Amino acid sequence: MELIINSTIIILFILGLYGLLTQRNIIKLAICFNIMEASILIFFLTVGYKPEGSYPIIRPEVDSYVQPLPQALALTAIVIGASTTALMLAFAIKLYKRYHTLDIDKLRRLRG
Amino acid sequence: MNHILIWLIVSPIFLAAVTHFIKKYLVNFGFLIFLSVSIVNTCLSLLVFLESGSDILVYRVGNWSIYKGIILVADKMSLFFLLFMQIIFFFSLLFSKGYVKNDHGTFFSLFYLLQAGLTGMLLTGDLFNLYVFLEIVSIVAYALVAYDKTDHGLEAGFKYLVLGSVASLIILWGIGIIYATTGNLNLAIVAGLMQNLTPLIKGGVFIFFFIGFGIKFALFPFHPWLADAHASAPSPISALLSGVMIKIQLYSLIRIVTVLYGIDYIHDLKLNIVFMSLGVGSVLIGHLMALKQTNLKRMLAYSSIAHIGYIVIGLGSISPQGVVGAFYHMLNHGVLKIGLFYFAGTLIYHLNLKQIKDLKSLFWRNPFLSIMFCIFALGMIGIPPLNGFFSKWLIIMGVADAGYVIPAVIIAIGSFLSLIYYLRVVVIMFEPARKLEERFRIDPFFAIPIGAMVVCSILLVVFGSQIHLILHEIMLFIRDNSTYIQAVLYS
Amino acid sequence: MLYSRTVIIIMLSGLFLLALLTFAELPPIFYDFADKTSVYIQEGVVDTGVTNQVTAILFDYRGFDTLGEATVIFAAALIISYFAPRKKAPMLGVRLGVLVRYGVASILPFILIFGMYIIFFGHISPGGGFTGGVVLASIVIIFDITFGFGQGRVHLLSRDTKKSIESIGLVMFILIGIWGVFFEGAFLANSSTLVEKGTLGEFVSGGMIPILNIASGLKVGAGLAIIFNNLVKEN
Repeated sequence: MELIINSTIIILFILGLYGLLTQRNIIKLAICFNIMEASILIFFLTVGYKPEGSYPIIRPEVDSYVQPLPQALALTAIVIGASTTALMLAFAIKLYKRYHTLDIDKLRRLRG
Repeated sequence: MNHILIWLIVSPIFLAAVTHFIKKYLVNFGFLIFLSVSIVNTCLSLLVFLESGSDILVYRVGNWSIYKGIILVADKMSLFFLLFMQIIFFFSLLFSKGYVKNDHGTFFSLFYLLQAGLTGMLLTGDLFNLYVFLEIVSIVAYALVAYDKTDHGLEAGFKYLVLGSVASLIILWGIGIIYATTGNLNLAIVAGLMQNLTPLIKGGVFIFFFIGFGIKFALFPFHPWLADAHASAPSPISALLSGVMIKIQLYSLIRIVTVLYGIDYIHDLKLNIVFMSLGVGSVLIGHLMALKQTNLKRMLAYSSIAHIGYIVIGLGSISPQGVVGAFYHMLNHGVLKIGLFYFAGTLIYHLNLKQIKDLKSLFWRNPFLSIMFCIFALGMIGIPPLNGFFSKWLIIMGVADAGYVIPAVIIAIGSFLSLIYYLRVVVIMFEPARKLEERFRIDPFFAIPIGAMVVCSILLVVFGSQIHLILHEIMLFIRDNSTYIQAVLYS
Repeated sequence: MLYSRTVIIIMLSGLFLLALLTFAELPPIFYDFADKTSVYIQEGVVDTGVTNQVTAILFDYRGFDTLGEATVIFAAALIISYFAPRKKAPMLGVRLGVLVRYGVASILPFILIFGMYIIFFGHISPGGGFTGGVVLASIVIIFDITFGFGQGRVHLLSRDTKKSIESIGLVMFILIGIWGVFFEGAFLANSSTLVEKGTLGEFVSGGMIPILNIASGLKVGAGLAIIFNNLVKEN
């Protein structure tokens, strides 16, 4: 079980990074960024997880809870990731209007 | 007294939030509010810097104990950088007022968010909080690079956005692994638990932080975004990004490495050799690329990469002189490069001059600007009475004392290369005019910041010994992380 | 591409090995931090007076992070409305049927109530300002998709109102923080001078936490609506 989760996290991250470095389509770049983001969110959720733990809303009848802090961190990371993605898409729209293409190899006016 | 720290972070955010309501009055009355807040903040940071003396201020946000909540830590190092940053932001505010033509509301909101984020990065004592402020800074910086909405700006902004967001994720990985292994996020508490980690995790996290921040401050193999981004941004923003932002990102790396790992870790693993070789790479690639540029701002941007290389070489030597020289060079390069970008911005605004060859016989048209340029350029090259010389000299001496000859030689070669490309500009500028071209006057909003930067660079020499003392204290402070840890744990 | 493909593959395989090795030495996934960080579970209820510990961390223990996070959304909304194209972009052009339009119209009030419930009860049940804000933003999004782009701006909230709501949310967050400086001696300290601490598990509990929830709900809802409206562009 642990091996599966660990390898999922690593493979998602590497896959996202590979896509980010090799893909040419701007929209695909944004998607690859989100794949990388997903890997770290999964990692955060596994950190404080307990198989028998309940969700961290304190009730008298329950005595085992999962850790609340990683969830809070994950929430913050999600919001920041969403903002970055939105910014990437805004740039994509803007670049498409200027160059009429989404291929980053074609928008190379800056060289040297 | 301690509330000043939180005020310095929150007041810019507050201004950015209310800008929407005072947008209509921004041109005159609203700008006075901005100006007064900036002056007040500069004075407050000077006050904190002078009052704090040698003790470390710890501010517990929300009154929680350090094991539960977020803390702000202000020591000599962060307060010194804070003061420097506030002064630069004040003059950039003036320069931006003259430079920015459209949509003042958005521009000044983003400007203040950048200021809040940088202040937060300097003062925070919590790893995840550092990430949040780093993201504020980065997101605002991506947008400000493309603020002119030109083709070049958008393209450079997108390049920077992709590389920068990957860097942020890599840093977040480092923070996540630290949390997973130590169960805490406070820098001082984590530093106490670091010896429980296996060497591999310790090294892995180090590499994550190093690569992540390395992309952010454009160290050698990760530098390609910087020249595009800083050359395409509006000039006041290029000045801020080159002069302040990359240095504060370097500061964050120094803070994390010195507190969590300590100098001994770097010394034992010979990591300083890695730093110095990357620094040498930065120096060479920066100067060589700057030699072949035809665009003035692009040349200045490549020169920034080279100077980051100098600073990293100085820090990597770990000798007292080298580290002091590196910190001194951060200030000197900041002031001089900001002055040069202001110069480039003034020309773009008044005459729409971007290429170096267009500067032909500028001296006969505006002697003031040309002489200012000469002072900045000579300072950057490192001609003795000017400030750039002293920091470079300190770095060379420190590096040579520590027994590394090659980096010292490379620094000297780099200075020679920069002599070539700055001299080329100066020669073009002083070329006698064929026909008498008319002179042009520049706005006070442009002249005051440029003059102020010259005054700053002279002050940095005149008060050299005092600044050297402060920097020496900072150097001793970061060499021994127990001071920081004790101060936070027993606050 | 910034680097050649071989360089990328060498870099990535290095990273892969590094990650694999690092992960092998991490503490096991279901590792119990009981001795280290369960401080929030054990003392959170007494400290903050709310039962939902994720909300307690987000708005009390680490409220400063949340302020930063709200600032990030504020910045993103500001930037995207600045970069948005000035012209109207051609959209799909599919006009949705009567059934869809009436169905959506009858669902919208319930979505509103649901979003407000999540915000107002965020401190004692799952939810909070961020989740609730996203639900509220979805009203604007659904309205625009169903009735055509630009309709939301005319019939629900104008562009300027959304920006004002967003700014007010952020200003409110900061003012509550400053309130803490004056009455409790630290920024964002939970103060019971304005609101009673209340009884645990009831609606009125947790001092300032529910108000911070409302502030961030307004902020996030308006911010996401601005981002959406500017990305599809309607003016």
